Amino acid sequence: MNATLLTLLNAAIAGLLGLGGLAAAWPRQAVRIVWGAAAVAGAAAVIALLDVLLAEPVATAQFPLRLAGVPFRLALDPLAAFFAAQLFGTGAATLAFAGASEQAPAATAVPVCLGMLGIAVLGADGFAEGVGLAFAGAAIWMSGPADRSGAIQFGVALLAAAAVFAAAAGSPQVGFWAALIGAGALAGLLPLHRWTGPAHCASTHTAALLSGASVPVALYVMLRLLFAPNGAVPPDWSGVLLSLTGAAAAVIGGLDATWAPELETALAAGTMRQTGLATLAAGIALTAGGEDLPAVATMALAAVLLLAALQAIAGTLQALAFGAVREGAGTRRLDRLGGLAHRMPVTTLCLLAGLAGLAAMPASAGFAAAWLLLHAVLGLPHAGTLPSQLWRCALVAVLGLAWALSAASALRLVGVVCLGRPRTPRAAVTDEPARGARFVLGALAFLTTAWGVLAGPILMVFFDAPMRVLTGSGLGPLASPLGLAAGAESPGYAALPIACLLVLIGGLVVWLRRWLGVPGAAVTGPAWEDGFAAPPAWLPFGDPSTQTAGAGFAPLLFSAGVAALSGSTAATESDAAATAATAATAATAATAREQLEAVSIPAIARAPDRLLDLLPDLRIRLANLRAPPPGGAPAIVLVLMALLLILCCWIGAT
Amino acid sequence: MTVLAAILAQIIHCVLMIAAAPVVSGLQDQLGARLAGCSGPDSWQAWRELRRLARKQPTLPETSALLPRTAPVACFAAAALAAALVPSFTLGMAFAPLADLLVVAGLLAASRIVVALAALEAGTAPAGLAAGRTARLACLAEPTVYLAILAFGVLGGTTNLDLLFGLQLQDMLQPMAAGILAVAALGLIALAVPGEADLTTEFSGTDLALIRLAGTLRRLVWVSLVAGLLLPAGMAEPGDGALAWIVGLLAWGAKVLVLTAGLAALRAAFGDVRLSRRPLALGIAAILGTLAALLVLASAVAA
Repeated sequence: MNATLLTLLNAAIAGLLGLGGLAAAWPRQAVRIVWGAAAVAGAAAVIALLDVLLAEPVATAQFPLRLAGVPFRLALDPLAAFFAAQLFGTGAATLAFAGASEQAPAATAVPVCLGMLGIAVLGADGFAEGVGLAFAGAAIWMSGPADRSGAIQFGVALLAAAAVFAAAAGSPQVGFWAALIGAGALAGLLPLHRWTGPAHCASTHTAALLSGASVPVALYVMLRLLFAPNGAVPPDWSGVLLSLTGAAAAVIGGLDATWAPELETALAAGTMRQTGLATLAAGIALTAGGEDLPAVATMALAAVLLLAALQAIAGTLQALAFGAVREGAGTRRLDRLGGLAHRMPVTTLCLLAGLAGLAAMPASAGFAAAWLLLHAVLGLPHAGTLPSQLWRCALVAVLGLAWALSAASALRLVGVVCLGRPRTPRAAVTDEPARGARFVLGALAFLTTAWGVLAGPILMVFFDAPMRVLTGSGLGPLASPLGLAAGAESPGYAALPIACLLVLIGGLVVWLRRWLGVPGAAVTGPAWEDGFAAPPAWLPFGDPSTQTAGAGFAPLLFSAGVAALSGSTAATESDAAATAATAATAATAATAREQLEAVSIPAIARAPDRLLDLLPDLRIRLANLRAPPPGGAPAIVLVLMALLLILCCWIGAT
Repeated sequence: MTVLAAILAQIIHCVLMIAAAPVVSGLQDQLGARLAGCSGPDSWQAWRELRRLARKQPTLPETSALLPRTAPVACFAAAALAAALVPSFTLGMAFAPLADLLVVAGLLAASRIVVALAALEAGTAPAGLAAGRTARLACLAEPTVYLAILAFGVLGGTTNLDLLFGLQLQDMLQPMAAGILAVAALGLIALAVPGEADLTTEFSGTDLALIRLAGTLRRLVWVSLVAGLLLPAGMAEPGDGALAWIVGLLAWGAKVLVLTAGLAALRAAFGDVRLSRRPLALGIAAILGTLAALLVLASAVAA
């Protein structure tokens, strides 16, 4: 049965790659091809989910390819199927959105990227995984504008590929470093995020691929390298180092997300926060595994799986909703949007559902993950030296800070983009995306909500088989139909009853209001502006400068630090100064972005002989790499590092 | 029979919370005024204002689109659920298995964030500043809340409030000093996080009444938490009769009175925490929380 499913998945991957090639060669039919690819990806997601449910042992398919003695094999087990389902499911949503909102001609690289990421997930060893990652990175690079950020993203993917390959061909001890550097870079953890963040701005589907589809792949590679290795026991400090990296990423990403001046940069920072939390959880699991605490390790690993799936769904939802906003309002800058809820109610509600799922509100998926993580830290051994106890306190404080930051960034994004007054005339006349695209957004929003409310049943059904691959034992008493429980003696967190009670109380209040005959129908009038005069006639939406554009949603101390780090003017200790500083930083970043867009070379597309034109395009891209704009050196360094790593393990293997 | 008693206790508790919340807030204001040397409103003033607001037709800003009618309901639902989960006069109520400390903290935070989101609908400068302030202070307060939960979680081996109150009732949450430090940190947060007055400029009528009632409920939840985690004496236990419930109710009333008076005295002695001083107060709360967690962990080693 499992072998059949693997064959079907291989066929789906081949189909995606073929459709990608077809779309490049035949752009006039791009819409149909993209819809076809969406159907294939959706079918692949269903097949992968079926495999998770069946929970059968691993099946392998070998291909007659070989690199440095490592054969090219694809394998399917429940863990791989769990992540493949996320990858293909979110990929199908991205493709369907592109097909429905007439962005199909720009999204022709997406099927290729999906297929390659699929190879990376199904790869049984470093060779297949590395090939998949490298070509997926190339597909992302080719899909966006030929600027530095896309090239860096390609470099990052190459680095991850090389690290994975090194872990397979090199010694077992390489595994940890490969996971930290390679998978961490792919997940946007290391300092690389400063350069990879702008890659999200390339297009809607690039953002969806980077924030949705590639996150589960990165976390999957990390879990594979760390928890199902070939008998190598990771050193003691590895868990601490991993959770330190994760904590730093969670806090830095969280702060960036409460300050980012553009939609996509906020999305990239939010992705970094969530992958940082997942890495932190993986570090806790590693520590717990070293201390021989299987229940705690299971709890932390369940948090990793939960966060990966949540980010895949909610990240794709955000990327697509932001794409719809940008299409409608013609800008990605927060200080030019506003008031979209009037014209785009469906998009606003979907975005709200996605962001609320990420923030740790009770009955949301983020809250389930926060609960699991807190209880995993609680379950770690109490005994230890003062530094280790301080470390535990710091972990818990970071958890609290990261979840508060995610709530703050959700409040800021929805409040500034969708609520209030429009800040530009263009933002006042936006329109909803097409009906199919709205349907995709609604489905993703529903999934995010269900993921939180039904956390218990979902864990029971879908997490048991992957957990068996990771730890050798199942979930145990962690999940019940009502919610989560840390142990038999403690009742735990009951997600479903809490959600029901919240709805019940709300319904009761609404019913009481009706029943008591309280004057319910509200009248509308002008907002109270603290007594200031009405705005003049040439400001039909009021004075834009009196409405917050999202400054000051993070603690002052931190925003001053961030502003100082990014080279803006010094921020002082008052609300007004902080607002000014953040606005200045935003303006600088926006100008830089515009300049970058102006100098970037447009992809030579739309010609029927697109395949022939790829060569000069490639030459331009390579020339771009050779003579990069200022600050482009990191890309070269990354590629060199990747080549060096490949060379090292080649020599080591032969 | 036990199930029926649990359900009855839960209903009494819910009614008690809704009825007492405005009175406790009113009492706090009255005591504060007396200590400052004014006569002040009497403690039923908050109830009278709620009744007056509930009869009025709400007015909404023109810019509002989605949230203004749902946000007050959501804000109240979260606060009311939090109040329903924290035990007051007896243990073993019907919702006891749901009463996780992290859930209560999350509900309280959600209740504030929802109002901040709805305030942004107005598109005015004060609402935007207030929403930003809410998010900022939550970022500073939340780590401390998590640290306090860590302290109690390690102390009691659980984060369920019903079990924690029961353990404290049997004097088994040792060392007590750690519990006091953690509660002090939580209390400092309650003092430093401002009321919802600055967020509600654009609300009126029933909507404003709901938000204000939610605010008083949140304050009462803090008081109930402190009372249960530090002085659970007098609380009835599951299986106790009606007499134990009456004793529990009286004890709860006395505890709430004492804590409210203490809070009012603190306010009178040190004044309200000024806006610019709030990060400092929250920093001190974070230090207290860290100390509590460290004390718990260190004593776990010694044990």
